[in-house]
Amino acid sequence: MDPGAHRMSVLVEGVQWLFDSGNWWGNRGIVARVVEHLEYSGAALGVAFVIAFPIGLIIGHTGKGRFVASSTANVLRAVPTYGVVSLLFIWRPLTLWPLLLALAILALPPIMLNTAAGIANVDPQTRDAAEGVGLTGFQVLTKVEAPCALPLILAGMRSAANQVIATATVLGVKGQGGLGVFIFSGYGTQRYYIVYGASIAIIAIVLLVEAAFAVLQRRLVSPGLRVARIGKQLRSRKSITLVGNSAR
Amino acid sequence: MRGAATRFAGNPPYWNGPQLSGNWDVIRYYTAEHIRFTLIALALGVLFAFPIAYLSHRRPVLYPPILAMTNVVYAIPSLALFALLGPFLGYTNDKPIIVAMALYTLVILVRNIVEGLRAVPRNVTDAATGLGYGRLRQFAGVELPLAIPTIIAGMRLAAVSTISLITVGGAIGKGALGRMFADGIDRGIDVELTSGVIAVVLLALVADALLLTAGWLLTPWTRARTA
Repeated sequence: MDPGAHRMSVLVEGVQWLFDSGNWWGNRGIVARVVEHLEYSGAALGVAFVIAFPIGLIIGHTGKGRFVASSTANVLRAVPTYGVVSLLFIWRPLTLWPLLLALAILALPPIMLNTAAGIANVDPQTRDAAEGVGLTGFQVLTKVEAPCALPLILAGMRSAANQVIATATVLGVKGQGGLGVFIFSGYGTQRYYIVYGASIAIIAIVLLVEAAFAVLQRRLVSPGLRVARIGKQLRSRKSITLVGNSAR
Repeated sequence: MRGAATRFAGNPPYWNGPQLSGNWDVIRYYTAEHIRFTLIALALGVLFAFPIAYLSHRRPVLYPPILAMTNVVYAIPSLALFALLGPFLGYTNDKPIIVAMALYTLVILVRNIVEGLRAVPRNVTDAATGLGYGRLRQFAGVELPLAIPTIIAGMRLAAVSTISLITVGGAIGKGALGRMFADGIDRGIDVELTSGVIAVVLLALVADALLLTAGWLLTPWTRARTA
C-alpha cells in the first residue's frame, strides 16, 4: 500500500473513532474520559491558583523575593510530570489526589510569575496617584494594581490551563483516568487511530479553553487598559522574560 | 505492551536489583543519551526559529498567522505529537521525540525572538539607520544583541521544558532518562524511577544555569548600567 494513503487512513480512522457514538457512552467511553480530563485539570488549576496567585501578588507588590520566585519556578518547570505520576503510582496506586498535585506543579510557575510581573509592571505614576488620593497599601493592591495587572494574570492562567490540560494526558499511564487512557492503551495495543482520535479531542479542548480565556479577557479587563496598556505591557522587557511556560 | 526485554533491546545497561549501588552506569548511559537528544532538538529548533522570526519581524503581516500556528502546535500534548509524527518518522524510534522537542523549541523561540526584536527602541534603530547600517547589518549588529535577554529567556524555557518532556518518550519505549521511569514503573523499582526524576531535574538546572551564564557573558552592557 502507498505509505501516504496509509498515513491518511490512520488519521481518518481516528476521526471516525472519535465521532462514532458507539464509543461515547459508558464509564469507559469518550464522554466520561473528557469529563474526567476536565475535572482533573480544573482541580489542579484551582489548587495552583490558590497557592500561586497570593504569592505572585505579594512578590509583585513588595518587589521582594523575585529572584527566589523565578529560581523556584525553574526548578518546578524542570520536574518531569510523567516521572512524578509514575512514582506516585508505585507509592499509592489507587489514590488520585497526589496526581492532582503533580499537575498543579506545572501550573504554579506561569500563574505566580505572570501575577508578579503584572503587578510589578503597573505604571509607577498610577501607583503614586493611588497613594496620593489616600489608598492604603492593600487598597492599592486590590483596587489599582490587580485590575491593571489583569491582562498578564489572565495570560498566565491561560498558559497554565494549556499546559495542565495537555499534560493531564500523562494521568492515563496506568489507566487512572482522563483522555490519556486512550492514548496510552492505543500505543500499547498499536491501535494508533485511537491515539489520533484522543489527541484530536485534547487539542480541541485546549483550543476551546484558550478561546474561553480570550473571551474572559475581553469581558474582564477594563476598557481603559485595553489598547494602550496591553501594548505597553507586551512590549516591556520585564514581562516578556517572565511570561511563557514550559509545555506539557 | 513492550516488555523490559524489548525496551532494552540493543545494549543499554540494565538496572539490577532494588538499590542504587551498582546501577550508576544505567544513569550515566541515559543521561548521556538525554544530553544528546536535548542538544539535537535545541539546535534544530534554533536553526529554524531565527529565519522564521526574522521573517515575522520584517513582514509583520505574517506574524499573527505564524503566532496562531505556533499556538496550535503548543496545544498538542507531547505524546500526541509523537503519534502525529509517527506515520512520517516511525512510531518507536528516537526521531519523533527529537522532532517534537525541536517543534516546541521553535514555537517558544520564535515568539521570544520576535518580542525581543520588537522591544528594541525605535530611536536605537533610527540611530543605526542614521549611521548607515544596512538591513542585515542592523539586524545582526544592533537588534539581535539588544534582544539577547529575551532570546536567552526563551532558550532557558525551551531547554528546561525539552529536558523535562523528552522523558514522556519513555511511554513509547524511548526517551532517554524517561526509560528509567517506564522501566521503574513496569518492574516496581522506585529507586530507579526516583533516580531518573532527580537526574532530569539536575540536568535541567545545569542547562538553565549554563544558559543564564551565557546570557550574562553576552550582554556586558546591561551590567555596566546597573553597576
